[in-house]
Amino acid sequence: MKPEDRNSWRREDHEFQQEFQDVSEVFQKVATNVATVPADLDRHIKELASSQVAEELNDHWLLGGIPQLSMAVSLMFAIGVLFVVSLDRYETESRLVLTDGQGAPEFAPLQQEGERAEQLRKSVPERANRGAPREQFTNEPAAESAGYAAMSAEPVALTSAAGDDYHLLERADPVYPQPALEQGIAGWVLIEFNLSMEGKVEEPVVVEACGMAVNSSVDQSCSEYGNPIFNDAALQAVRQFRYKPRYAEGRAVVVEGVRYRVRFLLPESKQTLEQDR
Amino acid sequence: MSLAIGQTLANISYSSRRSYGRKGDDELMTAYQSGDMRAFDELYRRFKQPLYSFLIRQSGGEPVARELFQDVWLRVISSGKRYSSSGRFRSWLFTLAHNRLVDYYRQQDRIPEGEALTDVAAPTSDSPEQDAILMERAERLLTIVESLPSEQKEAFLLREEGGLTIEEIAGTQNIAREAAKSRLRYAYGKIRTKLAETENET
Repeated sequence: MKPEDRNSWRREDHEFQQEFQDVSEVFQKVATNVATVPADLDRHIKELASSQVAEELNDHWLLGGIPQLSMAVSLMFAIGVLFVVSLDRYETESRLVLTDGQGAPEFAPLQQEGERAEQLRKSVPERANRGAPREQFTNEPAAESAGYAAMSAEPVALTSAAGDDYHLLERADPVYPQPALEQGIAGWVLIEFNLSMEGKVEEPVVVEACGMAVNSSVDQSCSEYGNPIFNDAALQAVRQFRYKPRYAEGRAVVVEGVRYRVRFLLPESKQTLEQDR
Repeated sequence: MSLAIGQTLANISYSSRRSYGRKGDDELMTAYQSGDMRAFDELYRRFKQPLYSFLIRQSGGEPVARELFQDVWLRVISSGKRYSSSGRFRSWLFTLAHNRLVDYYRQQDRIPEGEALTDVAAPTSDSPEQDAILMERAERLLTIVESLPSEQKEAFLLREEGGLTIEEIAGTQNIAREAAKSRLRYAYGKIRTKLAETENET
């Protein structure tokens, strides 16, 4: 399969979704989650799953009938190795968490460069205050479809869902800030918020922001992290969002740490941002 | 040998220190295969509801859906190394569900056709009148969905409940991509038309 195919498929999917959004919205609003999975069924399946794990571990132990002593030695060795390995991996991971770009493909270098992360943390004070990012439901790349809506000649502000794990019922389009328009600045704002039991957005905060002059972005990475130019517009839009409430065990629950990336693209910047996909 | 155990243990310990919520589906599945039960919990949490809704709509009722739901997860659990992360977990899961449904219909020796299935989740709006309107609307919509030919209905549900892409639906239903697309187009179009008709009547 060629990458071009993938891209055109993605575009087609997106177009299809746009075309029938009205039907989809009605269905999502009234007809999904017809019945909650009964609690006893939940329990049963989890038991099945954990008994399978136990069985497989048993298989490991019985494998080949290795004498007890050598087993013990290898286990101790393994624990030693694992300790080192897990420490090492944990370190790597915590760096990644701090620079987590919510899988935004166009800014991939961000995830590899410690320096840039450092710079980013300094430039966005809100982020530092929040401490460790809270759990989020998905790490699927932030809506890959986002770029395709930017087909019009007008400057557009796009919103992209953090994964398809949520159902956005009502969405407000952000207003492209006039100063940004005048200066030819494009960018995005990654916002983190909680969802109330009613699916309303609460306590939205800016996690990362990027705004850059379109003609300066030759290397396609964000050149100006922390530029607050889009923050207000993005926050204002996100505050008006309404999601389908999430249920657990039949009850509506609060969802913490949902992330949403609002993109602001000028028509000229579209190519630059999309090329990287 | 020691490496294998070490790796397993490493995975368990390594995983427990991370937030499961931010892992990808495939990653969770791989972690579960190496013995990480918490990875399974997270995976199950993500997919139980869409899968259950899908099965309920496709099988015609709760008792059957229950059985099929259990079968599908059992296959996930016992898939062992048969699962490779080449595709999306989501798409694989719904393909398992599709296959299980096909088996079920074969046993029943019939093709599902327009069962009266109009269970609706209780809407949660502020006023009872609004609830009633929503409820009515949901029932109409579900009746329309039920009236679709079974392949179209399935394609529609795979998309709406399962969140599958056109490509993945084609894979699940074992048809060409273009065919899947026209199936979907037909289903959505029909629902739209009929919905408009019924709204006009009332």
